[in-house]
Amino acid sequence: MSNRIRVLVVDDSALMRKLIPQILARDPEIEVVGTAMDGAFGLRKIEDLRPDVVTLDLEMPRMDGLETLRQIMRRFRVPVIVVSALTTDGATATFKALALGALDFVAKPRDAASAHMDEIAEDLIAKIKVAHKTGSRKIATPSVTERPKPGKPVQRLRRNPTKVIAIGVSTGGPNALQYLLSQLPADFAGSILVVQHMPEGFTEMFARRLNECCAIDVKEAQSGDLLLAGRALVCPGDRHLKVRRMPLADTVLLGTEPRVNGHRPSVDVLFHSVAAEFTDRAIGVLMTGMGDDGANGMGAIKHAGGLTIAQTEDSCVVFGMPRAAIERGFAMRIVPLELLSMALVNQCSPDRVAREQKVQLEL
Amino acid sequence: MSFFSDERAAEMRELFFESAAELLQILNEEGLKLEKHPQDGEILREVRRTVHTLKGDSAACGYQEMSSLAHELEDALTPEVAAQAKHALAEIVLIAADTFSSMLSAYRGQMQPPDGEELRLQIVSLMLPPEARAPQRLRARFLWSEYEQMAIADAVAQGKEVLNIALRIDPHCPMRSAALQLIRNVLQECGQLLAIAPDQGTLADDLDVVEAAVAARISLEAATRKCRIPSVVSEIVVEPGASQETPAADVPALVEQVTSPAQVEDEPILAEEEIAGELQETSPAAQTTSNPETPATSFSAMENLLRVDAERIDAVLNLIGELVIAKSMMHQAIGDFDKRFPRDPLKIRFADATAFQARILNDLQKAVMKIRMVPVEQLFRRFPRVVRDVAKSCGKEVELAVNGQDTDLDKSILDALAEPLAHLVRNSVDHGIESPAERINAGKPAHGTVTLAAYHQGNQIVIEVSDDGRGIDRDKLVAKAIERGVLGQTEAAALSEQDVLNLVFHPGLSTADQVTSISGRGVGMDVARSVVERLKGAIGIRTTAGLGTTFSLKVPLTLAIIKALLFRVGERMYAVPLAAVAEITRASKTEIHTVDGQNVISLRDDFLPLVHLHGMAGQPPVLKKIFVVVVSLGERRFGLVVDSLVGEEELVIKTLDDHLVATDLVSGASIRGDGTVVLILNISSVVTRLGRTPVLMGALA
Repeated sequence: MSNRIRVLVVDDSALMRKLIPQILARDPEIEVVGTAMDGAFGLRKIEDLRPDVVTLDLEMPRMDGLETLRQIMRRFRVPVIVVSALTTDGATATFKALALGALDFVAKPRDAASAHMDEIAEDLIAKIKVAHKTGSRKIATPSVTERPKPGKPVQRLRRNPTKVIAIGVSTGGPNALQYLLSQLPADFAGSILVVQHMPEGFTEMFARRLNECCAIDVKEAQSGDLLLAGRALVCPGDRHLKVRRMPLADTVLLGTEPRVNGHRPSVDVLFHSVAAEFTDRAIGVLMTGMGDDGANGMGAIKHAGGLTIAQTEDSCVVFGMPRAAIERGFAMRIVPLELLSMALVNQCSPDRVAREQKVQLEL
Repeated sequence: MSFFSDERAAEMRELFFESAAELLQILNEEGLKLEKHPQDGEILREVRRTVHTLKGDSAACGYQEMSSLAHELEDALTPEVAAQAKHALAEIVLIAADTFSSMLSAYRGQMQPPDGEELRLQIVSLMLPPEARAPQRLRARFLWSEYEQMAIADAVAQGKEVLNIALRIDPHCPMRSAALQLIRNVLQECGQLLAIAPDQGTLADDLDVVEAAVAARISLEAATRKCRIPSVVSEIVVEPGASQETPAADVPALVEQVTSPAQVEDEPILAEEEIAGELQETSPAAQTTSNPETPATSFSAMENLLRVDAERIDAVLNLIGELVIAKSMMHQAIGDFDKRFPRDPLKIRFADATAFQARILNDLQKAVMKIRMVPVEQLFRRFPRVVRDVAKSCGKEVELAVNGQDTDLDKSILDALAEPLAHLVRNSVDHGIESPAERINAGKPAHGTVTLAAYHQGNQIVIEVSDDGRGIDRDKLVAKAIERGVLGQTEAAALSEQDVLNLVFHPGLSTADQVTSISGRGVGMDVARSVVERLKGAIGIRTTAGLGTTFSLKVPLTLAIIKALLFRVGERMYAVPLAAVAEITRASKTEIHTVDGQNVISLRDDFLPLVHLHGMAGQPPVLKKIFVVVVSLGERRFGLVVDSLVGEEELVIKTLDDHLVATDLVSGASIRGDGTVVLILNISSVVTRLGRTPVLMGALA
């Protein structure tokens, strides 16, 4: 009984205060111990009830979500999962919240009558469990205090990338990804493609946010975007990301094919596509996240002659996807988050690539 | 595939309807405030937050139409739009409240909701910059993907002439996908197709404009001619590709567009320290903006709110009613015991115990009653919108003043009063208040005031609707009544002032010269009165020519238990609500006079019409001295002639089914402690039916 995860729901909508507990009631390990209609109450109830996890709406009267979050972080250090609405403002606030220490976010429940709800329910339940296990920001991610890297060029020359790096990441991703990408230098020679499991509507803000704090360029991918050195393209929510080599340049292509592994975007779709198009120039990186999306794709990259890297367990918020790849023998390297950028810089450095090509020629 | 069981989903929907109604109420209120202060950021935020919650909630219940409309509205609720749109925004918010409300009722009735297309168009036009509001012309954007830009730059570098072509597909063109194919073919005839949007994968159905970049083999004019495909293409824009001025060098510029923060349209995202700083800045502001009228205590009270089905409370109330009966049974038993053993010491202990029990019962009853009580504010808050809309539609300036909105009233009575009150308010604005010009002529301020007031009066609550308008013109009213054949000339002459005013409630009479869509149709006032009377209440009118009219609705605080005066007529025992009793007097036969076929007595220099209840009990009076119970009904008074008085008692009202009692003379029954049944009289029908008031028969029927 007492082992159940005690959750407090903070939301100004009476409907959500009813709906979210009902969603959570599906899981026997979770117990909603209370609800609060705004931030001030939320804080009081946290003090009284000492929940294990808090779900927090950001748009509330009186004390809004961000202020509440800041106080929660300062006073209680309870892991917080943001329940976020699909608006530009909502996305902005959501990423601010992640920067302030919220563990993760889920999209607001929509359409109780559809299958969509199941996904949101699973997502929320899984994230609450992760939050409970992780505690508040146990994983050190110095990224949140990173200043924009100096040396970001106002204009960047268009260079073809030495390598194409496909990154798959899920729970815990926003902060880990921000850490990784902000470590890369402005003259990074590889091109990065990111599939982050994230609801539609959030990725654009996410990419903008990353672009602000990274020396490399980050943007949300659009069909026809070019793979360039020093650039990361983030797959938009609810689309699959693939690569396509065209006569003049290499481009990305967005698609609306059915979900793969229950996800769209799916890491496997990207990894398979990158493996097929770039073979030994492909690098697959599987980072923190639940499930096993991307594990088989790592195999495809490995077999095509590329390099595959899994994030180490202790630097993951959730060691699900990397573990799956490791267990299947598809991860060629296992690298902690702090060293990942260095590994990628080394792998992509033009000198090294030239050496590799020379070796190949000699062979 | 449903996520929840049907029962759960229904419960959820019910909660949604309830909270959505609340949200719409807030939306109405804030919309009205916004109308007054279109630039007030705090009001705008409140509106936005409300719409936001509505959006989330409706989405959660799967009501997509509402959710998407709310989403669009939310996006329009920015300070920028507000600054530009001024009053139009408040108007749209109010229209939105109406649209959402009709959507809600459609959802409730499981019908197809209105599409809200009109509202959507208004929102869209609001968001467009003014110059773009003109009828839409083809505005080609020529936004190519990076690869397409590269291909164009490459073609330009090779010295080819690049044309940007935009075509609008004729809206009447039936086969869109065929049209798209045809256009592709034509474009390819013009030259090498470098870029086309939408690309092949797009569904042709919502296709409107096709944009393309072509490395042309033919001249711009020739291309324009070629693209003019009758009944497929309705509009054409052909222009030289912009890349000529910026040959291959556009490449870095393009990337710059992607990377430079200055290009990011929305609020740039702040780095960590800045966020913290910003929050520090906003937090005191947030505290000051938090509503000072709602202190923290009221919030905590709200947080402890419990939603309980009214039926459950009624069940408790019923049980208490039974307890009240049990109490009087006990009371009588002890009375009997008393008589039999006058000296038994046990008697005092009995008396103590019953007194104690009675006190607790009383408290209990009050406590439960309190549960059912809600402030009339719940009712009053709808009216600002009603007043505004009615005033607007009849070109008047009217303000609504509200007093005593925290007066508590039984929820069921409150609900029942909503319609009559709405009618009275509409009536006051439409008929009571004069047009601004008329008012200025009369030396009054141009804007009229309608006042809603509520206050307690004994065990009753009084709700008044007053206006400072022209007052009711008695002569006009009488003239109209004669014209309509409601009254004869002679009857009219005999009417008292009050009787004349009561003509207002006659079905088919209205003093307004024109019938408007709002009121003046002559139905409504009579309905309003009958609703109030069904609630054991009364409606009264006071009017002063040129100064205004007040309608006052007097209703009991609660319907379940009343304090009543019991009396006998013949063999039977009857009761009337004590609140209606003004006084009790005695009169001897000789004091009864007959005036115009009506028995009256003189009571303190005033004539009091008598109502003989024997007509009901079917027994002639035999006593020399009669008891007269003086009851007031609205502004009028009547004397009920009764045989003997029993006393004052609390009665638990049991409603009588229609098939038990085929008369409206009795509004309910009660059981006393000794098991006797008391009939509770419906005073208004008793007076109407048994009082000989021939001139008013028509008016009161």
